[in-house]
Amino acid sequence: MRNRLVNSQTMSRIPSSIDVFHAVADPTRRAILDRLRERSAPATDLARGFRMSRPAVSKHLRVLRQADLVRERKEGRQRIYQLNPAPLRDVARWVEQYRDFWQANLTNLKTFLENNDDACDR
Amino acid sequence: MMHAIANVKDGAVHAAVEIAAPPARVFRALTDPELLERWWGSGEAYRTFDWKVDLNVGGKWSCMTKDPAGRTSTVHGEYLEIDPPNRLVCTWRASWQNDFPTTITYELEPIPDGTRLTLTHTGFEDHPSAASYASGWPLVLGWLSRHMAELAEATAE
Repeated sequence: MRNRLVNSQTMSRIPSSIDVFHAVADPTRRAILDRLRERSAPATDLARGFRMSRPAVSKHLRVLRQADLVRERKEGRQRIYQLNPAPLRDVARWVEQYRDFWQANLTNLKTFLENNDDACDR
Repeated sequence: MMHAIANVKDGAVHAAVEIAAPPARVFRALTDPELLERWWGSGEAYRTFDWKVDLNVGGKWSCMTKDPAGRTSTVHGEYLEIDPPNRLVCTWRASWQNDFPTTITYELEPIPDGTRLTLTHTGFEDHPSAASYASGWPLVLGWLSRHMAELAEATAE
């Protein structure tokens, strides 16, 4: 369908999590997410990749975990971090659905005016 | 231009359409409650009704929306600038988004075949969740857009 129509019930609500906005606003955390997009990794690898101290990376990972953007699992003695992209999709969707909505709605306006010559001529 | 084109840039939604009708007619279609009810909405996905328009700076507008299941919502706002038939600026508050206000700017420009209408929907970065990070918002949205397809795939797994 040319225009994915958006209505009030299917349209995303405003992302309610402050944590998601906060998490992705930081360039280092976006870089960590980019890195985890390629593959899951233990914190030590991440720290090495960013030339940051382990505690600094842990702090960023904690923020990302609170936003549910990153999940951890234990493998032996290591904690492996993996990306959970779902909350990001919600944030982007809030704005992107308006793109689809306006594209459809302005097309409606065009169709209406071009097929109803008498409209608006009162 | 067969239909409207819209995109997200710098954290705002930009849409444009060329309409074979003079700006005055387009402006009226954007502000007359009876006309709004006739074109705003998609028929099969949702309809709007009960449009109210107080076309004065500071005046309110509102409408109800109803989906095929009969569920209703409200969208409303306030006119900030009214310059017929060139420009119209209003706020947008949707009940399903806690009435959080964003801003819509319509600009109407005469072209040989009628009117070029552009719409800008801004203010998403003013949401309390994003407020402290407003400066990074366009960057974040850009980053998100680049990864959208990938993220959607990953989430669908």
